[in-house]
Amino acid sequence: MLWLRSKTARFLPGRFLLVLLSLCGLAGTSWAAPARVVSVNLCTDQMAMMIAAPGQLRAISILARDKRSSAMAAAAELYPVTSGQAEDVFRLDPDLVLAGTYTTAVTVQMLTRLGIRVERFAPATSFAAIAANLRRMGQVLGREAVAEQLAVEMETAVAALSSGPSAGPAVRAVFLDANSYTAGPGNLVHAMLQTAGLENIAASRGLLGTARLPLEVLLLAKPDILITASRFDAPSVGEAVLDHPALAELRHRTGAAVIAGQSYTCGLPQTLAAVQALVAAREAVQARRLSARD
Amino acid sequence: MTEDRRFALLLTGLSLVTLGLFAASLLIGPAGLRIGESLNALLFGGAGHEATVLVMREIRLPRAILGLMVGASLGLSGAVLQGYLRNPLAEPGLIGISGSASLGAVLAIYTGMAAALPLALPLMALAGALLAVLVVFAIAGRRGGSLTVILAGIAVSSLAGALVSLALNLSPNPFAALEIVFWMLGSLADRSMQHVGLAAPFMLVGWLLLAGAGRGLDALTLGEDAAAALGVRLGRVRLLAVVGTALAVGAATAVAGAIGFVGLVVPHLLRPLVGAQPSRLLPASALGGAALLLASDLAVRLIAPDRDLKLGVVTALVGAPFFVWLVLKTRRETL
Amino acid sequence: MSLLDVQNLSVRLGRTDVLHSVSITIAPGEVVGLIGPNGAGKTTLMRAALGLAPRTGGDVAISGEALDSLTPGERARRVAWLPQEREIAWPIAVRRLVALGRAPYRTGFEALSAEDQRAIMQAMEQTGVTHLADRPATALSGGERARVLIARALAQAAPLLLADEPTAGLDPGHQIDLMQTFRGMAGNGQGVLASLHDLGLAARWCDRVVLLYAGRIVVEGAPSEVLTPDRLRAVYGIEALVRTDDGQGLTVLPVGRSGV
Repeated sequence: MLWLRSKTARFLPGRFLLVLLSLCGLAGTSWAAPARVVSVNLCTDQMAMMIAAPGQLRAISILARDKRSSAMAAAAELYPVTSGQAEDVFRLDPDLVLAGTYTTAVTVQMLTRLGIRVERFAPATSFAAIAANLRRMGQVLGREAVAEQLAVEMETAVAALSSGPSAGPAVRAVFLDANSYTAGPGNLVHAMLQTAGLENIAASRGLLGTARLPLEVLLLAKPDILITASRFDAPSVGEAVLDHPALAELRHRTGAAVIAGQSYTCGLPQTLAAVQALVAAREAVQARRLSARD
Repeated sequence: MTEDRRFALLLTGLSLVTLGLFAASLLIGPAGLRIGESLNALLFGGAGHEATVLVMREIRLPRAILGLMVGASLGLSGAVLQGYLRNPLAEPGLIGISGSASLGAVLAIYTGMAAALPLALPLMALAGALLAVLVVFAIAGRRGGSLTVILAGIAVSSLAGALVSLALNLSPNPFAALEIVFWMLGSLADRSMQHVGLAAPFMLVGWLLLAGAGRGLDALTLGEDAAAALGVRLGRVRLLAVVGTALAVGAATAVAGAIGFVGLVVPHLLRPLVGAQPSRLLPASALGGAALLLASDLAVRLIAPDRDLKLGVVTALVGAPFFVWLVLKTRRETL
Repeated sequence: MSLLDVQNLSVRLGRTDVLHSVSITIAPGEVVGLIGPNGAGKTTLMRAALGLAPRTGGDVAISGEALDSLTPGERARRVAWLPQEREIAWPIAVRRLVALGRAPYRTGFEALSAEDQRAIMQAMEQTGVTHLADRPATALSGGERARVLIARALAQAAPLLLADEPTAGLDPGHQIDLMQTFRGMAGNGQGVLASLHDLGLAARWCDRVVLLYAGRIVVEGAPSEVLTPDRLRAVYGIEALVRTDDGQGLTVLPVGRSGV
C-alpha cells in the first residue's frame, strides 16, 4: 500500500480517479449490464454466445465460424461477424468489447482511447480457470446465474472423472501437434490428459507449456497412447510430421486418439467432451493389458 | 606430379570428414542412445528394440542421408554456376534458384497437388529452379558480369520470396502461414525415407549432368570464344549446367527448403586448395558442401534441440561473415 | 591443299554488313598478316572462319574439309584460335592454363599423355614463360599474361593458327620472339593468320599481307606490294615512311596523319 500511495501521489487527481474507477471495474462491482457487446476473440466469442442474453451480443469474430477452431461454429452463423479491427468494431458503437489477453495491444489501446470499455480474458489452461472465466463472463454481462450453472455443471463432471478408480500401472500418453510440438503443464491439453487419468510423457520429461518433443525422444518414450491433433483440410509441411512413417509404426502398436482442435483451442465446457474420448482410449489400453495378463 | 597427389589427398581428407560427420549425424540425437546400441539397431534391427530401430532407420538415417545429398547438391551446383558464369558470386541461393525452387515446392504442397501425386513436389521445384536459372543466365548474358548476375539474382529471389509468402498467406491452414520461414531458411527436421526416395533420383541425375560440365568449365576459364575454339560445345555445357542445377537444387529444396550460402562459401574455401581449376573444384565442392551441411545440421540439433532452429540460420551465420570477408578481399585486390 | 580456304564469305551482324564476299586462303608454311583499320572486320573474318560467328554467305574449308562437316573437336585439332580478349577467369597455375590447349586431344578426365607434356613444355619455352609455370596466371603482368595465352594456343599444336592482335601489349623483344615463333611454325609446315596493327612487324615477318577495309579485301600480296604510301594514306589516313634500301628488308614507319 505504501507503494501504491507513493506512486499515485505523483498522478494528477483526474488520472487518480480513473485508476480507482478501473480498480472497481476489476473487482466486478456495479456496472449496469451492457446492452451492445462485441467480442473480438475466439474464446470470448464462444463464452459470450453461451452466456449473453438474447440481443445483448451484437457481433463476434470471424474465427468463431471456423469449424476447426470453434466448438460453436454452427451457433456463430446466427451472429454478425467483425474483422476485429478497431475501425470495424467502433462502427458498431459497442458499450463493451470482449477481448483476449493476446488480442493485438494496439487494437485494444485504440478502442480504450475511443472511450469504449474493454474486458480482457486470459486463455484458460485448467478446468478451474475455465470455470473462473465463465463466472467472470457472467459478471461482466450481468448474467451471473446462467454462468454459475454452466460452471457448476462442468465442475461436477470433472470431479466425477477425477474420482474414478484408477486400476493398475499408469497409462502413459503423449500429445503431438504440427512441427513436433507437444503440451506440458501450463497447457490446456495437459489438463485434459490429467483429467482423463493419463500420465503425460511431456510432463514427466519436464517440458512446460508448448514445447518441442523430438520424434526420436517420443518413440523411445514408448507411449501407450499417441494423441494427435485433428488435421486441417489444406496441407502444411508442419503437419506432415504426423504422417511420418515412424509414427505409423507406433500407431500400429499402441493406442491412438485424435482430439479436435476446437476442443482445446479455447477452454470451454465443450473441452470436457474431448476428455471423454481420452478416457475411452485409456480404458481400451487398460482392457488390453488385462486380457494380455489372462 | 605433386599437384595431383595433393588433389587426391584433399579429396580423401574431405571424404573422411564427410564420412565422420555422417556418422556423427547418425549417432548424435536428443534421444541420447548409446553408440553400440544405435549401430546394432541400424544395421541388424533386432527384436525387443523396435523403438531404437525406428529411431535409427526412420528418423536419423533419412536425416543424415538428406544432409549429405542436399549439401553435395548445393556445393556442386555452386561450383558449376561459378565456373560457367565465371563469377565468384554465382550461387543457387544468392541468384534466386533456391527461392524459385521453393516457390515451385510451395505451390505443389499447399495446393494439395503433392498429396495427390507425390512426384509433383520435386517436379514443380525443378520447374521453379529451371525457370530461375534460365532467367539469370539470360539476364547475365554472355559475359556474366558480377553486377548483372547479382541484379538478376536479387530480382528473381525477391519475386520468388514474395510469391512464396503470398501463396502461404492465402492457405486456409494456419500452420502454412508460419511455414514461410521453412521455405526461406530450410530444415531437415523430421524428414523421412519418403523424402529421400522422392529427391534422390533427381539429385543423382543432376550430379551426373553437373559433373559432365567439368571439362568444359576448365576451357571456359579462357572465355567463351577460346573455349569454343578448343572444341567445347558451349550449348551443351550450358544445358548440363542449367538442367543439372535445376535437378539437384530443385530436388534439394523440395525436401529441405531453401538453404543459402553453402554453394557460395564452399567453392570459395576450396578453390585455392585445388589450384583454382574449375573441374577439380567440382568433386571437392560436393564433398565440402555435404560436410558443411551435415555439420550445420548437427549444430542445429546440439545448440538448441528443443527449438525448431532453421538450417539456413546456421549456414548464414557461417556464410555472412565470410561474405563480408570476400567483399573486403575483392576490394583490396581491385584497388 | 590449303589449311584455310575462305570463299565469298559474308557476315551480317544485326543490320550491319560486316564482311562482303571475302575470300582468303592460307597455305602450309605461310605467315599471313591481316591488316586494316579498327572496325574493318578483321576479328569477324577470323571468328567466322572458325565458325564462332554466323556467316550469311560463302564457304569455309579447313584443311580441305568443309567447316560445317567438322565436329568442334576435329576443328580444334586443325585450327587454334587466340582471341584478342585476354580473359583468365580463375587464378590457375600457368602450367595448367597452357595445358588447356591440349583439350582437343583428351577425352574424359584422363591424365596428360607424354605428348601432351612435351607440347606444353615446348609452347612455354617458345614464349619464354617456363619460369612462370607454377605462378597463378592472374597474378602476371599484361605482357606475361599475353605470352601465357599464346603458349596455350601453341600447345594446341594445330596445323593452322588464327591470332587476333597477338603482339598487343608485348615489349619489342617479345614481339620479335613471337614473330620468330610464327616463322618457325611456318618452317614446320604450319600456317599462321595474324591480325596486326604494327605495320612494321607485318612488313618484316609476313609472307603475305591481306588489307581489309570496310568489310572488303582491298588488296593482298607480298608486303612490298600492299604496303605502299598511297594505299596507307587512302586506308588508314596516315603518312608513312616505306623503305627497302637499308639492307634489312621492308621497313614501314607511320609518321603522321595525312591532311584531310
